[in-house]
Amino acid sequence: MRIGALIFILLPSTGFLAGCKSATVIDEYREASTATIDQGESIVVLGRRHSSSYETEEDFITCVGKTLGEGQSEISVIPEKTFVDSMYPYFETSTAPMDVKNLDKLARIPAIAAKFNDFNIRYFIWIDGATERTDSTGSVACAVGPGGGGCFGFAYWEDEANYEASIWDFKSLALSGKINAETKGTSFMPAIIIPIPILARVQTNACKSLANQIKLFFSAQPS
Amino acid sequence: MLIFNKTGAGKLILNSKIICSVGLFLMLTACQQSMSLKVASEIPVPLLTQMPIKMGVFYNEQLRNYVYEEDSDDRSNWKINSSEAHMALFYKILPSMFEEVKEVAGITTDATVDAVLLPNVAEMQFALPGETKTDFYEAWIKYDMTLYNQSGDQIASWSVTGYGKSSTEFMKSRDKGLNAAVNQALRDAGARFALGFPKVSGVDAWLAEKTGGSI
Repeated sequence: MRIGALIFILLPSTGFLAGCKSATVIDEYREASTATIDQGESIVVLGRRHSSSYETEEDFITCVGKTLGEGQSEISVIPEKTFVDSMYPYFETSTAPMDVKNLDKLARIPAIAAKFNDFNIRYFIWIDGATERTDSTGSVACAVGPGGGGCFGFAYWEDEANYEASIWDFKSLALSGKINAETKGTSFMPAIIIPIPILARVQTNACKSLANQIKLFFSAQPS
Repeated sequence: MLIFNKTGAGKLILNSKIICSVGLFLMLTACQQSMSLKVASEIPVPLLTQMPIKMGVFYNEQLRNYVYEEDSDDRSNWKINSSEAHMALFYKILPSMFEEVKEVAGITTDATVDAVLLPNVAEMQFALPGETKTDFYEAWIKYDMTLYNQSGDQIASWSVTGYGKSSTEFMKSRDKGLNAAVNQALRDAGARFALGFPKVSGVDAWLAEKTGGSI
């Protein structure tokens, strides 16, 4: 009886799991002919948070930074909070440079130039975007009684992540390029006694895709 | 709610359980509306070049004891104490801006300082995600700043605003969300004050006179 119930729950779940997936589209624009990071040089990944309707998530920036610092072609990444705190008040939401020209102006202030030198920064990567829920439907109802409890129903939702990374070269004080990552995914939650969320992990997939493309941006040079 | 029950005694126990649960839920809902928050701020040491100025600062009682209070239908018994956070902000910012900072007892003549700064909290506003239908806790701060010369005459008077927001995250409490938003607003106000000070109308001319145009 119990095995039957288990099959009854697992079978549709496996079906949903197979159907649950996310797709990412990467778009790259390269301005500079070469983009390389020399030995000892670092990059900093920063989130744009000036929009009133959304905010680039801190955990997304952390994820991109962490992914860039992993693997064979690992890059030295300065954590966002460490950098922003040590540069206070010049990299707050309202005071951060919006383009490379303003970065040039900042770099002329001796205290800032010394700090950039301490970090040995080569590239600034500004990420702007967010993950949003675009659609959701269905419902799951749960009830508890003296004899036990359980849930029943079905819900699904669609998430969309859209992020753009602008890469600024501090050495040449110019825009090196832009990378756009757009991920869409649908998550399901069937509930037959126990709710089983089958998540599309849209934000995580967008993070990994964007970080891997940034790595490629620095390693693969155009012919 | 699904109820599986066969005996009368069981029904009685179950009914009292439901009544208790509903009562507890109502109590929790009522508690959720009231708020008593003491803001914990985290302001980094600013990376500024000190101006060759001996600045006096008069922290009046309004700033030292600032508490936002509201008692309305939607915000029953709200008390947000940010007095220490305001003081901490100026304690952090001012010594990084000026070569010497001295706390003074008033705006009256003090020959040991070049000028006296009087900061005041003009206004604070807050917004919860449920109120704005967004995913953010938000906070606004407005300071009224006045600068007096050695004779106690006003050099300049201006406002400094700060805005902060904090996203709603899984298991993030309302107090934690609001505290993060206020902290962001304090950082923003501090940044705007520090970077905007030499450009304020009246302050710019006074600074040029005091420093011989080096700023």
